[in-house]
Amino acid sequence: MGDRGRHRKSQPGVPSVHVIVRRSLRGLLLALAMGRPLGAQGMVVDAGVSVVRFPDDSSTIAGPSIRLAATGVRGRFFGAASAGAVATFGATSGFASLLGGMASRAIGGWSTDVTGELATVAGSSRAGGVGTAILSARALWNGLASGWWLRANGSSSARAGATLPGGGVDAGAFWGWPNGRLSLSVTQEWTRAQLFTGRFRSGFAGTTPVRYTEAELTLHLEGDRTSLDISSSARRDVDAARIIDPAITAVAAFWAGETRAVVLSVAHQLPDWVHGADAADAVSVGLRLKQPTPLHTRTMRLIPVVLVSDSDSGRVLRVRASGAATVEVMGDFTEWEAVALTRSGAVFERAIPLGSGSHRLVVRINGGSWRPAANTPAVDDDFGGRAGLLVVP
Amino acid sequence: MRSVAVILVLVSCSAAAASAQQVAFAASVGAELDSATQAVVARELVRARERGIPVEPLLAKAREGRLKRAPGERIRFAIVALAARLDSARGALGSSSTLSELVGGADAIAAGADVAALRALRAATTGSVAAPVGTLAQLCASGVAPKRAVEMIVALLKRNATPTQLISLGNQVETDVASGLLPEESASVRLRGVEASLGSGDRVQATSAPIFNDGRPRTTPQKPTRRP
Repeated sequence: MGDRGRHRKSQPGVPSVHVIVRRSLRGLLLALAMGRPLGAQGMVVDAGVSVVRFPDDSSTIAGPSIRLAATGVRGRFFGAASAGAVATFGATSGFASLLGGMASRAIGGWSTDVTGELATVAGSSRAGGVGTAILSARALWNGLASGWWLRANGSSSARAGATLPGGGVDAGAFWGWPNGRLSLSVTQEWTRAQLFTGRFRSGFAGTTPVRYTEAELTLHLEGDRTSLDISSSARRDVDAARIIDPAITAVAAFWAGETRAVVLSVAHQLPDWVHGADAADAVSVGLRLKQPTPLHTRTMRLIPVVLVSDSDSGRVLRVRASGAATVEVMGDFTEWEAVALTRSGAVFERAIPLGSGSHRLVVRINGGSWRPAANTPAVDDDFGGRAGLLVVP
Repeated sequence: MRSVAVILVLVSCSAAAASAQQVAFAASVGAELDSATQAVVARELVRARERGIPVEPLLAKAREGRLKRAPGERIRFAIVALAARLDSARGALGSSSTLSELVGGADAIAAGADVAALRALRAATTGSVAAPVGTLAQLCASGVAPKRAVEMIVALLKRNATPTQLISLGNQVETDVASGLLPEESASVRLRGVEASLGSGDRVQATSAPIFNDGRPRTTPQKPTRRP
């Protein structure tokens, strides 16, 4: 078992493992190398050029690529769809993934979610494609700034006339802060791989089990208009050519506009036995469209809370918006003129003549869009927008 | 310019108590509205005065629409709709209602409450209903059924809850809802929190509904958590 596995990738003349036709993997590789847009709502488009080397086939390819990704959340349901393609002279390849799931309501920080994914890759060098279905269930404890999860998954992948079952478990923890996030996870996966003879998967010879353990560390750092994502991992596979194999992916993004960024990425990736992606080394340069700057994304995540208190100089309006640089309010009590608040420790405040009763107001953080505060229920403002209801005793 | 003068005249003549500030405010509103909108504003001001409805909210609404660069047609519609809501609120809360009570009532109607709900709150207290109707507006806007919201507010009024306590209920429920809790569940939990702050006594009937799916009663509100 051990000798057979070790031979499957590296020794000529002995059946070697190729999970999928190399050209059909480039799109997926680019998607992984360029990074999934974190926290994006709506659609993001990546267009770039990549140089990819597939060590198992001793081949290198360079070509333009494009990827579209859309994510969304509606109540307890979430979903993501992505598709990509790369074209070179005489060859094209692409991938598509559709993911959806449902999360339970969080009680005491605990929640669960179930996710289903359908993924496919296809290439011009191969008749037919690869289709994989994955179903996973996760238990999550989310303490907002940190948390941990435990997940189990089962998969079935149709390749080269065979259906390969798989399954795995993973556990991880994450820590977040205003400008970054760190996560650590450990995965145990059981699945099957295909055996081929010759280069480029000629001579199908059957399948073989694959079992590995992988530890992964991911780090996300961001400024106002820059971001850096680094993912490093080490995999232990006793049947691989190297029992311990490292991998790393780094993606840097520099925003040139409010929704446009230049993305640079480098990757040394191990085979993805579940989805069917080859090992590869890649360098990519691309333009990412329709993704807001990190500053904008952080601003939209801020949850402003409006407070009113009495002081010697009258009523003081306070807005708690941790991490905000500027806060403005506008309401009937300002005659709908924007009024800037002054930072005072963790809150922004201003003495405002605010009479008792109902008022309508909206808040703007860091010069973003006007919106109701978290604790002021939103009502129609009669002009196509929303305003928060503030009641003052 | 003629319409501006019309508004000024209407405000200053029909309202003997109109302040200089109010007149100036009316002038500033009229100066940047189109003629059709000015005519509607003028007409609604006259009607409001005739029915004993305060004109300040109507002028403020016109100014809001102008500053938000809303089309004239939309401003006209907003003025007429607000006048109707104020009229309904006055009919439900009484002709001696204060400005803040009427504005709160109009907001409650805009949020989904009906005049019967306002009447119920008016009947529940002899004091000002500004805070109760404001809380009703908040709860309805947060998604709590108007009937249920009225039950809770009336129950708290009977226990002499202060305006601050009532308003905190509305604020807390909205915060919970924004965090992912269902409005009715949050309202029940937060109501118990307000009750606890009111001290011992018979628990009001409005809180007898199950709080969470497990149905176990809890004496303190659960901290809202963000959904993943």
